[in-house]
Amino acid sequence: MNNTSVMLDGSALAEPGLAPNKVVERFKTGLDGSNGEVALDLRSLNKITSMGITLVIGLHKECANRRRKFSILLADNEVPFLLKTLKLDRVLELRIEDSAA
Amino acid sequence: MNDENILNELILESKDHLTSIEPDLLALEKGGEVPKETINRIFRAMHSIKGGFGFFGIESIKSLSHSMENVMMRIRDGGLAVTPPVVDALLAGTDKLRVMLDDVRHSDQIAYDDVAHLLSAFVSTKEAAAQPKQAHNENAKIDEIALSGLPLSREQLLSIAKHGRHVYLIRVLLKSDLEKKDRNPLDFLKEIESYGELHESWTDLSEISGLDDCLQKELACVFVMSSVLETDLMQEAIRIDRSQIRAFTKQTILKELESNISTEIPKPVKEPQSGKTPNQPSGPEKPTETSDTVRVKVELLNKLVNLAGELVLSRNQLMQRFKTEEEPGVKNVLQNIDLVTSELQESIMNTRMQPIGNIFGKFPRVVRDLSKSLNKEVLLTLSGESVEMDKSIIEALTDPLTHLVRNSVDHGIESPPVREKAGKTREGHIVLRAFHESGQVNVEILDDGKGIDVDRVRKKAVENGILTQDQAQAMPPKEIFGLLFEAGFSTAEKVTDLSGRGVGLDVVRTNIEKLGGLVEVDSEKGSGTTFTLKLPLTLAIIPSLLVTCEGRRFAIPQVSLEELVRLRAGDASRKIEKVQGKDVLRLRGKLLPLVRLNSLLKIPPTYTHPETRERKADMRRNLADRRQGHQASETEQRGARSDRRISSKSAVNIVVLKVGRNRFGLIVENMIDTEEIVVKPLSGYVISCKCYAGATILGDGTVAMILDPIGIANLAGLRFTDLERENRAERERSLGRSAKEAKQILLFDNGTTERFAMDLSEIARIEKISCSKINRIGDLEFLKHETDALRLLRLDHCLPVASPDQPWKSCFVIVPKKARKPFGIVAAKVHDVVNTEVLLDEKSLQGAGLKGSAVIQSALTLVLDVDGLQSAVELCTNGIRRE
Repeated sequence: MNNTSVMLDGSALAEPGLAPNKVVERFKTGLDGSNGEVALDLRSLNKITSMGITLVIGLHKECANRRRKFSILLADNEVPFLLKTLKLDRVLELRIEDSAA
Repeated sequence: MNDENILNELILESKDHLTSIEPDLLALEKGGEVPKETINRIFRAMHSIKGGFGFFGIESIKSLSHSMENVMMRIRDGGLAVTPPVVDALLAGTDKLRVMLDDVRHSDQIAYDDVAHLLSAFVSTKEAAAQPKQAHNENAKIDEIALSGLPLSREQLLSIAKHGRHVYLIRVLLKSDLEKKDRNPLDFLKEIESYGELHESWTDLSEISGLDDCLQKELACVFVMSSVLETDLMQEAIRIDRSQIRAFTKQTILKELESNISTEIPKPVKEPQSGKTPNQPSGPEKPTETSDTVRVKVELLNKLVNLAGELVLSRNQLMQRFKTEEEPGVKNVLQNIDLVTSELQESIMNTRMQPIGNIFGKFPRVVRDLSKSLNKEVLLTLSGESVEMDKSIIEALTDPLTHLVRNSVDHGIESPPVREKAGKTREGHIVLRAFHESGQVNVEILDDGKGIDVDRVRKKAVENGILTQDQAQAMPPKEIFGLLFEAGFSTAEKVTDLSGRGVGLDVVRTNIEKLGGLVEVDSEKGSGTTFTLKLPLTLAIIPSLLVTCEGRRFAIPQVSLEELVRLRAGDASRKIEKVQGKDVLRLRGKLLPLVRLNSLLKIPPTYTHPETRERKADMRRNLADRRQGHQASETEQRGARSDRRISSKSAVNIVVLKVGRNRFGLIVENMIDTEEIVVKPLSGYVISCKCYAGATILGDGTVAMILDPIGIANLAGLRFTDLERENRAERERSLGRSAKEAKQILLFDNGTTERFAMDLSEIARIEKISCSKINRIGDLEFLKHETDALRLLRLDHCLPVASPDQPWKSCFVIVPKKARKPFGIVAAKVHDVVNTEVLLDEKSLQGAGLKGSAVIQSALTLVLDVDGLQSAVELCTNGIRRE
């Protein structure tokens, strides 16, 4: 397998009725199909659920277990603010997109 | 900080945890009442390691530390008694964890089933199954978050509790408390901020170790906030279960902090113990433990030490440059630079200093395991753990010290039955202690074991061809013990796993000498052995004496310096002698071997021509040439100042250096000054030259080699044994002529024709007094001083000598030096002090207070014995007491 990166879509993490097992499966498939860096795209989110946060952490640890570099793409809104308030920026690599750009 | 750095930090911290809990585990084994804090400390360490590696998904370490945590939990709850097998299992666990931590990347491939099996024996199946869940539930308990574990200082907590505000710790389970109640975390955050002020928050990540955990387990967030709302109102407002909220007022904060609740409860329940570790990146830090220390890379410290060294060199150059110039104002600035540089250098050197306790701490375990395997009972006592040394020395000391301690247990301490038979306690005692002495650190390993059989070492030395029979017999015990450090020398009857191959002690000596230190051994058969290591505090910047040899400069570490001796050119021939063809100096009656630095370094001898100031080749063959048989007359001396044989420039400068308990003199051309030098490692070209310990750059920018006294002694082939033998012979000859040796003798009389003599070295003082000052009590006489009275002794009262015919107006009081109680001998007249040989006749005239008689200055003289006179004084004084 080539050293391929993968961008996972995290738009579902804002949905209140989120089915976590499906997201887990989707994430795993994404990871299995690549072996390079992993990015989770949350740029479309302006909110995130508790389950969403749990899945972000789960994905982060899954990547760590697989020795894969993991980062999160975020829009400059309240989501990164929440993650920072919960001190998750200390373990997660947050790549915040400048909304003006 | 990226994951890699965080993991490295975690590994270091975990190793620290394991090191710190080992003494606690050994303390558990000793029985008696174990402080709860000791158990909690072990528990917290295990919890922390489990959490940290769990975060990284490193299962083996997580699982093993979890098993150990379970055992500790049972001990803490009183469900399991601490027995040796329990401690064995826990120690085996720490050992295995260490192995895993040494290679974390492959830790999952390290088998630990054996240890896990041992540990599981102490946790019942039911409990083992319940415990992971139990641990989770415990984590959920807000009660177990201690205030002292929060990243807020005492002052900050008290400040936010001002004006009647409550401080709340709120634990929120993201799924149970928010998701299931259709509450969004962001909304919840805004909500609680509307009821008060949020001061701190973090997330407990320990439960999630991968994507699969997301479905079953959940994250918990902790918020520290303050509010004017009472607890009930707060609970209603934020809609979180009461069990998840802890409320504090100013008083309860004080109470909890002062009662040091953290010592009662394992803290914090968060995975990470330190806010800087990856397992606690979003958790609280421990302000009390981390606020005043910081982990710094050794590489950075080394760089600082090097820079400090360069600064010292620049300072030295600056000082030298302006030494002679009188620039206005420069002197003050230079003094300031000098002072600041010294302080800066000292502070930077201190950053590398570590307590020797760091390595002492491993020995209780070493001694425990070893004594168990040898069926011995050994008590180890540590002392001086706070003595600090440079990190590099501490690290290099670990192996030699381990060897010596193992040696003491294996060879020194006897088995309990043997000890009992010898009238000793069953339990042997080893003391490991460190202390400062003469700017060095001494480390001693003492045991009360069987000691070393000096005759056996002698025999072995002869068998191995190291010594001849005669040499072995003549050699004193201390030097015989020194042979134990010779390569391949062992007296062990059998080779064991631990020792007996004779490759240990010579390695110990080599390693210690590499550090610029020394190792000595002393022993008494049946009583025990003491190994002493003498080590420098630091190796980087040292005070030194600068000397020259044929115009080249060398530095000698001051720690090796004993004294400096300068022989006038004319005196050299008398004081320098030959023993077995080698130059020796008779220094205060002892022979000191001499080494000429220029000969040793094969530098052709030169001298500075007194008129042309040029250096010219010195054609004289040896030292004696400059003074041999030449006693210049005064006229010759006045007329021939330029004669090198008597010129002051031809004086012999000797640096007396110590190597262990031996001394030798190094003849140098000149001694220049003392200077703090920065030790630079030797380049590859000269590293094999054993007489150098390093190189340095001097104040004028030139390079000087640093001499290594041990290397010089070895290179010069000094045989201190020969010298010692010669010294002993010298002493014996000296004793043989003791009855006839030159001494300074005080001659006096007692107002009669009889003459008395005393060795001047035995006299403290002589006073001339008016006889009216003598007070009498009965037959006793006293000389009253300001605060006390000196007992006087008249010789005719205690010796068979005549009494004076008439009373005197004045007299002399001679006060002996080493009297047990001061007293004065009354004399009528002091004649003289003569330097003469006394041929003592001990037979013709005898009696208490008399050594004998001698003919001095053609007169028969009684030589007094101070001890005998003292007894006479005591007899009289006791007599009056009884009366």
